[in-house]
Amino acid sequence: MASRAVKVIRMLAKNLILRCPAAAIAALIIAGVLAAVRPALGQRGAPSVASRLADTGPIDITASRNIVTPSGAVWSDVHARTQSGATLDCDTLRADTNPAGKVTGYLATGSVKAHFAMSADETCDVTADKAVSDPLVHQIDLTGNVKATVYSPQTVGPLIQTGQTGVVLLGPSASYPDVTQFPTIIMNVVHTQFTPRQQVAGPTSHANPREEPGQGVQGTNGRR
Amino acid sequence: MYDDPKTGKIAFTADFAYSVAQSVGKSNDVHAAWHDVHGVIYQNGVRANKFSAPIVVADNELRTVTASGGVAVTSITQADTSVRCDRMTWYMNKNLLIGVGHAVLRKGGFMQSAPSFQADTHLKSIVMPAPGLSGGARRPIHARIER
Repeated sequence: MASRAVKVIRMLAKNLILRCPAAAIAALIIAGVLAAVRPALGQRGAPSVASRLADTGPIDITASRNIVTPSGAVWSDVHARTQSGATLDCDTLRADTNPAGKVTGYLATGSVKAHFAMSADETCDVTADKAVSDPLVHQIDLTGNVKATVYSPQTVGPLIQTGQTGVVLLGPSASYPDVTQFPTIIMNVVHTQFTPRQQVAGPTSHANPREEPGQGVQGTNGRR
Repeated sequence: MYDDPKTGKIAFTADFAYSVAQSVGKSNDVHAAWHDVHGVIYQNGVRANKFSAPIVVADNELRTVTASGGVAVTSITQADTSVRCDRMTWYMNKNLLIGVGHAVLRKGGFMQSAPSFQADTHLKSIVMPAPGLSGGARRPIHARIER
């Protein structure tokens, strides 16, 4: 556990890549296109990514309204849930389709919020104004008030990372497999804030165990 | 075969078990009902949908056709698109289908249910629920996207 905590903290301290929360949006938004994604990922040697996403099963959506056109479908006031319990809430969710009716991409806009269980005792929420899934390039673009909140026993209170934009990589990152076991989100102009539960040696930690959540390790990165 | 009373174009063709027709009031209008119907709906002379219903009633004056008792409609022009509902009215002059009661849409990789739907005759554009027929629930749409 301790070694894992060190690894996670070191990674987060870099303020570049936040692991796992992307899976929430990835699993939900790209639900219909994974059949196309899986083989490509397999060829690139990342079966763990594909198999993880494949576990989500069908997606159930409740919405206040739906409009279907030959080019796709748009749901309003959306709450979506996977069989694994991941959820997505947004004002509108658009699925683009080709003439054969197959989904070619998803666009979630308006108070996008994804919730995902990373493990039995770790969950995270990812929020953004807009999330666009493009299966052709195997990534999801997040824009507008991107925020990831991770609830983990390894930290006192949640870990919160905010940024201007984010990109969800559905394939392995350049540093795979060291940091990527799930889809990753790369955020730009980020601010990370968390308090480790255990004392961790290293230059990045200045945590005081008596401090309240949100007053522990902080850092920023990116161009402002 | 039933022709649009105004345009004279074919409105729908159907096989049915039996039919009942009678004059309405003092006018020349005829109230016709077909039972156990399987047929094809046309729009401007073009085949639009296959449909089936236990009862189909046509109103010449209003130029409407109402199917009830559990209606199934499958688009001929739109790929992999079908709807079911308890009752559906086709407004020929408005190019409009309105279905109410346990409406279920199947299209491509997803299926969804709602209290009602509104669509054009070809099921090219579909709105669920139909405006004003949401049933009062906040989120009356329940969709499932299969993987």
